[in-house]
Order: sequence, then structure tokens, then C-alpha cells
Amino acid sequence: MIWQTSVGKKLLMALTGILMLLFLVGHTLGNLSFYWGADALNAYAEHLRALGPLLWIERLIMAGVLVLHVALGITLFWENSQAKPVRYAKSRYQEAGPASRTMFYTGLVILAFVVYHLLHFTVRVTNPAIYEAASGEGHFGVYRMAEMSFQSPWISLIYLAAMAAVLIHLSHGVGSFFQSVGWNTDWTKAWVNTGSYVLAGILFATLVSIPAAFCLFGM
Amino acid sequence: MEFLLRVWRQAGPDAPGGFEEYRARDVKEDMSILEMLDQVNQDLVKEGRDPIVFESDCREGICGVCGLVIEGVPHGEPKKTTTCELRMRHFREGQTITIEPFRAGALPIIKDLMVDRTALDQLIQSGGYVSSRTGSSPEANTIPVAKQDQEEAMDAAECIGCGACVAACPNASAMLFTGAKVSHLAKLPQGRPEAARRVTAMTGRMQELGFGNCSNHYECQAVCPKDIHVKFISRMNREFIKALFKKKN
Amino acid sequence: MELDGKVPSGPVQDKWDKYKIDGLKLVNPANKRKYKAIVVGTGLAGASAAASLGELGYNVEAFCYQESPRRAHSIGAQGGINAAKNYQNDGDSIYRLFYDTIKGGDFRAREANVYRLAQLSTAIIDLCVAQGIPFTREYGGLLANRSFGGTQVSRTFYSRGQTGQQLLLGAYQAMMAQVQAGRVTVRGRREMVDLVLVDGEAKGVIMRNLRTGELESYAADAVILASGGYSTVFNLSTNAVGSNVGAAMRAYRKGAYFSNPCYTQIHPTCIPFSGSHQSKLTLMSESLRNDGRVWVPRQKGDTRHPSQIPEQERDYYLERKYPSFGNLSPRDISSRAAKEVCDEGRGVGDTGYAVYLDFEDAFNRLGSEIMDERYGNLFEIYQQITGEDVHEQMRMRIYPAPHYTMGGLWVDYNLQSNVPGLFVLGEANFSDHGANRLGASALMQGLADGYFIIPYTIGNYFARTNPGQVDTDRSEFAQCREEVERRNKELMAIQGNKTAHELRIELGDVMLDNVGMSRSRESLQTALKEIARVRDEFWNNLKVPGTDKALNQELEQAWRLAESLDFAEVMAHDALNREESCGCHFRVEYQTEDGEALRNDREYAYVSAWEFKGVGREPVMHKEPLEFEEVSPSTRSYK
Repeated sequence: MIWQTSVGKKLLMALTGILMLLFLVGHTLGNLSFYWGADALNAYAEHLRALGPLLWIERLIMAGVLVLHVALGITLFWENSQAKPVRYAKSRYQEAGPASRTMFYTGLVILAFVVYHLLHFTVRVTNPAIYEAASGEGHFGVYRMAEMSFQSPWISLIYLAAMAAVLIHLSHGVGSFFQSVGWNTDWTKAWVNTGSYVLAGILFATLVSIPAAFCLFGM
Repeated sequence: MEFLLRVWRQAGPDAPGGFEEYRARDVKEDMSILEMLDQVNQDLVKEGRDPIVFESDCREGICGVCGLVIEGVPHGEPKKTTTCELRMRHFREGQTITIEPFRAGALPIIKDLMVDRTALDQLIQSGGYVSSRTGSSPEANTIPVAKQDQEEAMDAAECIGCGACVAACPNASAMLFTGAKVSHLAKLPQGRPEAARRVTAMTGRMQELGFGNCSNHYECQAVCPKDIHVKFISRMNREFIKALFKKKN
Repeated sequence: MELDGKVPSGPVQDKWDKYKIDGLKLVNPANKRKYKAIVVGTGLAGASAAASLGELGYNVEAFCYQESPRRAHSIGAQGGINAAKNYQNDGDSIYRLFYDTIKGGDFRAREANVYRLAQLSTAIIDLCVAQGIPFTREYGGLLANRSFGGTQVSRTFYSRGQTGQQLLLGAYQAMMAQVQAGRVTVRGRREMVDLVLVDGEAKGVIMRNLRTGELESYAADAVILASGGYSTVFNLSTNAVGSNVGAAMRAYRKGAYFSNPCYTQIHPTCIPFSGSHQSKLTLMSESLRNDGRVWVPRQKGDTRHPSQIPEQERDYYLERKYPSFGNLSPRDISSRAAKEVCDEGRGVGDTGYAVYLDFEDAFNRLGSEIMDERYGNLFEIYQQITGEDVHEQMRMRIYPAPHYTMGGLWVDYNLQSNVPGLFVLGEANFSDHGANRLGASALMQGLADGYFIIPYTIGNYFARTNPGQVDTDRSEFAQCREEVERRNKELMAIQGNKTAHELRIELGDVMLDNVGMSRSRESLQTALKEIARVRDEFWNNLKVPGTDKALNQELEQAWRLAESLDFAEVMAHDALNREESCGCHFRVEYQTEDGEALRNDREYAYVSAWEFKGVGREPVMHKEPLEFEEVSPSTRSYK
């Protein structure tokens, strides 16, 4: 019944969403190693790579989660537009904010970004010049790659825009998670919404700070 | 007071519809918006024209049959109000007022501003009750119910079934309506034995009837004339998860 | 002709129990599915009847004019439901509830029915709790009670201010469970436009499908009417605007007797009338009178702001006339007193038809917080409608409004009318409230009739008839449809200048002025003339646009008004015939020196039952004498 009902689909949406959020939190914490300098970041990258098969298991899980989240998102979006075939000539929202109304679109932006990000940093096909420069000293320099990438204002802008989409998506998504898994109660309702804004804000600030640091201070 | 009304007119379920304009004159500020429409209709009838079809019955905000989308908001802008209780003093003199029917695939238009809400009855039919035979009830005070539980059940039970939540939802979802009934009965010991069956049946039926999914916009709560809280949707979700882990029989 | 109420013999306490064993036949469980009942109206009585009959295994087809059964106007009841549980240990008992109801009805109800009602009251609460109705509770988790409508014991169960809503939804849900089980079919947007008799027994109905305009025939083994009361004959009332006496009148035309139509209850605390645009009068719970003081200025035409009128220039007329009950005097007395002072020209507000309900003392004594706790929601409703904040004004303006009607189709102890196979439940019958209904008793009666009486008594009728004898191909159905068709054509053909809405207001004014809170021979004779005049105008100058073969709300209104017009006449005849004052029927010729109702038990201790003799022809009255074996009629005094 989980697949057939709206509530079931929303539940899966919430669970896959929260898994990706946890991944993102981990990813962000890892990225923080940047502030300890090039060696720290490179060591962190090397450490991840050394996980070997574990890393692949994790990648497969996350890929599955992502596909599920996206597929459900598209299904829900399509069903919703079917459920409301005619819209109001005059419409005035009372409660729905820009975040909740654009979930599908911010989701698409994030999806596009994830693909780009993988091509950029993981598969490494987008910027051959940068990869060549980064692999100069015997092993691949992740720090160097990031540094050179973010010195390009275009790439930084793409990252900034994508992180803005993440911010908006999460500011509604985290609160929605609590609602969908049934944890929006008299006890939690007071802080769920504020909490999700704060969390989304912290993630955004942290993630954006790295390209900003490269771009502005050329670290 | 005087107003220009832009009213949706549609001859039948499949007929094309469109806005027509009417001038409402001699409107008193104590009038409800429906009384103003009554007045406009009187003139239309006398001119031999087809009066505007809309529904109303109790005109005191409890039967739930009235429901117009006024200036883009089901039941109009003021909170906690049904259409029949919306007074003209809330509008500006000379204002143009746009009036549309509820819009949702599951609530098709019958004529003009009248919609078919039998889908809401079908939702209740699928499980929104306690199966208790008339002859077999225990003495009423046998099971004490904590006051706060009863109060919360009552908060949910106050739903008048007007369907404004569905109309306001950009996805035409019936989560608040269904959530209110599931929560009302799940909160009381009398409703527990069937709680899993109820939530499974009602959420399944909701999908079959063509209601949309919840995107947590919370527009439903904003327009609810009885101020029913979205926490009841969450409560239904929780009941749904519990039901998932219950052994099927 | 004297009517036989078929009251079983024996002591009043044992009648029902004994009757269930000795008097009522049962239907074999295997045969139940062969029988079908039609239920018209899905309020408390109709929905509960459909639910319990479906549960027993009968087939039920339920109809309502609203789009959904959950819209029925039982939903509007605010106060509560009485039951003789004696949870408060304050001396309540079945006997006391029975006595209070009989006395409250001014000794004009049938004793045995009332006793049965009091007996069943406790089972209703048990069932409703089992259905998950969230009655208000004490902190200990047990059910709370309040005292209501001037009784000396606390026996009223309630769900905030929406008891009717919760009970109706409970009955509706129970019925929908039977729909799911396949026993009950619900058809909304259907107006009963005729009752079909086959060999003198009720075997079907003609419905107008309000959505398509089609006439539809339905046949069954019995017909249950639970179509509510007739307060809308006054135009403005606390009832839903669509509530109407049409279904009962169709039965009346087919030979069912109409009983006590003159008994109508006017509720004392409603938000006053404000202009001809108004479609509805809103009730303010009577509980307000616990802390409010009712007054008007001593001087006629005193237009000063109430706060400018000093204490000695105010007339607290209820406290003055009825020192011991004061502001809590019964509904009929309070209503009449308000009308009197307004007729003297001392009324307040724009129309002069309102009195003050003053909370200044209460606010000073209790403070805003406690007042809001008690009456906050009522203050909100008042502000929503009038735009006035009671916290600033310290007072409301109120005026009585037609609320509930005790009269209805005549039924015997089985709730069967004089037409075999036609059962009448709830407000639509006359049986339990006599000349006045106590607060919180309407819900009790509707549910007792539907859940606990009709399942037994209809079985007794079924057991004596063979199932499925009639289908809609019979000529009786075609005849009825033709008749309805003709009447619709007639209404459509008039094409005059007045709308049904305007004529409804005209009739309402006639009724309120002449057959309202107080009546006299003169006013009633005027009423009869005026009703005939409005009816004449209706049939010659009505304008209905569109066609009868499609959705047509104007035609619906016109149809209902046509029934009201014929009904109004019966009501006036009954009021004219009853030359006494009792309960809500106050004839100015029959009052004591102090202006109290003067009952005449020697000549009028009977139920009137009017028989239709043709439109415009005077109906014929039959009597069912009331015998009091258990209580002896006494005079009530609220001095």
C-alpha cells in the first residue's frame, strides 16, 4: 500500500529526502577539511578513495535513493497537476511560501547540479585543463582542482545558484519531513519550521563559504 | 455599498464556462456575501435571466454546504469564516469582487458555482466511522478518556466537510479532511480497534477518487473555517506508518 | 372520530418492555434482506434509522434534499442532549426526566411515549460514546454534564457548542458504514414530491432529482419520513433556509393527519432581524442568560446609547415580572415578554424589535477572562454578524426567533401514522414534546426514534406484510408522477412578477404577526384571510425562470413555498380551534390576571389531528384524547 497511496509516496519521499540530507551533512563536514589547508583536504579525499568497495556501496545506495526521490517527485508532480485540471483565474496564497511552491523546480535545479557536480569533480570531464594541472605532482590534487575551478567566476556562480536551490529546497523539505513521517505534533510544531530554516541556512553558508573563499580571497 | 461582481457562469459539468459581470447595488454592510448574491439573483429572475446557481443551507457556518472562492481565497480572506458568514463590511466600497467555484478534479462543477462533493462522502464511507452496533454499546462511563485527548479529538471532529481545504490546495488534496477524521477517531479509545484498517482504507480511497498529494503548503489550514490544524495530517501519517507495521489479517 | 394511539396497557414503566415481547412481532433474520424501507430526510432521526435498519439486515434507500446527508439541519443544534444517567448524583432518574418533559410540554404530550423516551435516553449516550462522539469530559476522564433550559438537575451531555453536529456526524458515519456494507443507498439532491399509496398503504415515493429536474419513482415495503419541522413557514427562523414542510405536506395530502401544528417554539435569544435582505436568524445559546440581564428603556422611543441610560430609567422586565426565575424564565415566557415590550414601542436597535442582554455586571463581577472562557465563541459569532464587540459594548441586542416545531404528522405508539406503512420520526412527528419542548430534548428524541424505536416497530409492520409486493411499474406511481408534472407545469406557466423569495417573506410576515408568539381569535382570522390572499397571489403572480426539467433553484423554492402556504392554513385553523393557552401556544383571550397562560384541561386535553379535505377547503379535525394515568396536570408557575 505504500506505493499506491499518496501518504505512502510522501513517506518515501520524506525518507529518501532525509537520507540525502544526511549525506549532504556528511559531505559538508568533509568539505570543512578545506579550512585546514590543502594537505588536509587532499588527505580526506584520499581517505575516501581508500574505502574502496565501501565507497561504491555507498554510491550505489545514494544513486538508488536519488532515483527514487526524483521518480517519486515527478510522479507526485504529475498526479498533482492531474488532480487540479483547472486553476483559479484569481489566486491568492495564504500560507504557501515560495519554497513550498517551487519544490519541483528547485529539485530539478539540484538534480541538474548533481549531474554537473559529478561530471565536474568525480568523473572529471568538464574541465580538462584544470584536471591536467591538478594531476601534476604524481597524485591528483583535489585542493588544486577546487582552487582552479572556483577561480572561474562562472563555475562559482553555478555553485552559488545551486546552493541557493538547495537552501530553498531544504527550508521546506526538512519541515515537510517531520510532517510526512508524523512528527509534527503539539510538541514539535513550534520549532520544526524554524529548525528547518536554521539547518538549511547553516548548510548553505558552509557550502558556499568554500567557493567564496577561493573566489574572493584566492586561497 | 456598491460592487462589481465577476462571477463564473457555467451551464453544466461539461459546458464551457466564463466570467460574467454584475453590478450589486444597495448592499448593506451587515449583509453576508450570499445575501448580496440573493439580491442580485432577485433582479436577474425579474429580468427573466438565469439566476446564479450557488449552494447554501444553514447560513450559520455549520452545515458546510456553502463555499465560494472569493478574490482567490476559498470562503474569502477573513480567517475562520464560512462563505455564508462573510459580511460585506470586509470589502471596500466599489471594489470588483471575483467569485469562482471550488476547483478540484475530484469536485467537479455541476453548474455555475455549485460543485459535486460526493467524493467527500465516499471518503467517509471507506472507513470514517467506528463500527459499533446499535445494541451492543457498553455503559458510557466504562472507559474514561483523558480530557486533553477528548479535546484534541473534538478539535479534529469540528470539521464541517465543506471541502475548502481541497479547493485551496494547489494539488486538490483531501489530506486535511481525511486527516481530521482519522485523527478524531484515532485519538479516542473507541476508535483504536479499527485505527489501522481505517487509515489504510481512507488513504487508499483518497487516491482512487483523484485527490492530489500533500505538498505541505498548509493552504488548507489557512482557509479552514473551523481552524483545523495540519498536525492532524501529520497524525494521519503517523497512523499510516503504524498500520504498515501491523500484521495483516 | 377518536384516534387510537395504540398505547399498550400496564404500568407506564413496563409498557415498552412488555410491548417488545408481547406486542411486537419479529422478522425472521433470513427474511430481513427481502424488505426495503425508504427513509426521507437524513438528519438525526433519518440517518440513525437508516443506520440501524441497515445493521439489522434490511435494505434502506435514504434520500435528502441536501447534496450530502451530513448537511441536515440537526447539525445546527448547539446546546446538548438530555439523558437520565444521574451521573451527577443530583437526584435525576428516568421518572424525573419523564415528568420534566411532560410538565415542560404543558401536559399536552402522550404519557407513554414520553416515558419511553426517558427510558431510552441512557442507551443513546452509551451508543454515541461507542461511536466515538467526543462529548465534553471532566478532568477525571468521565463525561461532563450541565444544567440546561431551567431544569434542576444536570443531565445534559454536550460537545462544546456543537452537540448537534457531533451527534449528526455520528449517525451519518454509522449510516455510511452501512452504505459500505451494501445495505443502505444514499441519494442526495432529491426532494420528495409525492407519497405513493398502494391499496391505502405507503409503498413508495416520487422524488424530484434536483440536479437534473427528472422525476424518479422509488418503491419499498414501508416509508419513513424524517423530514424535520416547519419553522420556515415564518420565513426567517433558526432553521436552514432549505428546511421545509413539503414532505410532510405531501403525506398530509395523501391522508396522513397533521397534529398540533399550532405548537411552535420561539427561541428567546437570537441575533435580531436587521433588514429585508436577511436570510437567516442566528441563535445565541441560552446559556448567555445565566450571566446576562435583559432590559429595555422605561421610556418609549428612547434612542440614547444604552450606556447613557441610567439604571433607574432601565426596565429589567423579566426580573420585575418573574422575581424568582428572572432572566432564566422559560423560553416561551421570555420570548413573549420581549415581544410585549417591543410592541409597546420600547424596543431598541434600528428596527425597534430588539432588547438588551446586558453583561456589564457580569464583566465587572467575573472579569473579561472568565467571561471569554464561558461565552467567547458566542461573542465572536455576535461580532461576526453585527460587527460589534461585546467587550466594548458590554451588551448584545437580542430578539426571539422561530426555532423548533412540536407539532407534526400524527403517529401512534409505533411511530406509524394513520396511513399504514408510513412511519414518521423526529421533529416531523408530534409525539413527545407536547406544547413546548425542553432544551436539549430534540436530539434525544430524534435519536431515540431512529436508533431504538423504529427498528422494533417497523419489524412488527413488516412481519405482517409480504415483502416486495410493489414495484414502480404500477399505475399508482405513474399517476403520482403525472400529478407532480402537472403541478410543476402550473408553477412554470404563471410567469408573473413576484419571486418565490418575495412571497415567502410576505407569508412569513403574516405568520409572525398573527400566528406567532401570541395569537387571538381576531389575529387568526386575519391570518386565514391573509394566507388565502398570499396564496392567491402566489398562483397568479409568481415568476419562475428556466425549466422544470433541469436544475432550477427558483422552482425548488416555489415548490416549497406552495407547500408552506397550504400548511400555514392548517396551522392557523389549529391555533383558532385551541381556545386555551398552553406551552408555546398563547391565546391572549386565555390568560390569568398576571398575564400567564391559562390552560383548559377539561376541554382541550387532546391532540388535534387534521385531515386534508382539498385545497382551500377547511380541514377536518380528529381528536386523540390525552389520558394521564401517571401524572396529574398541574399549573406551572415561574413567579
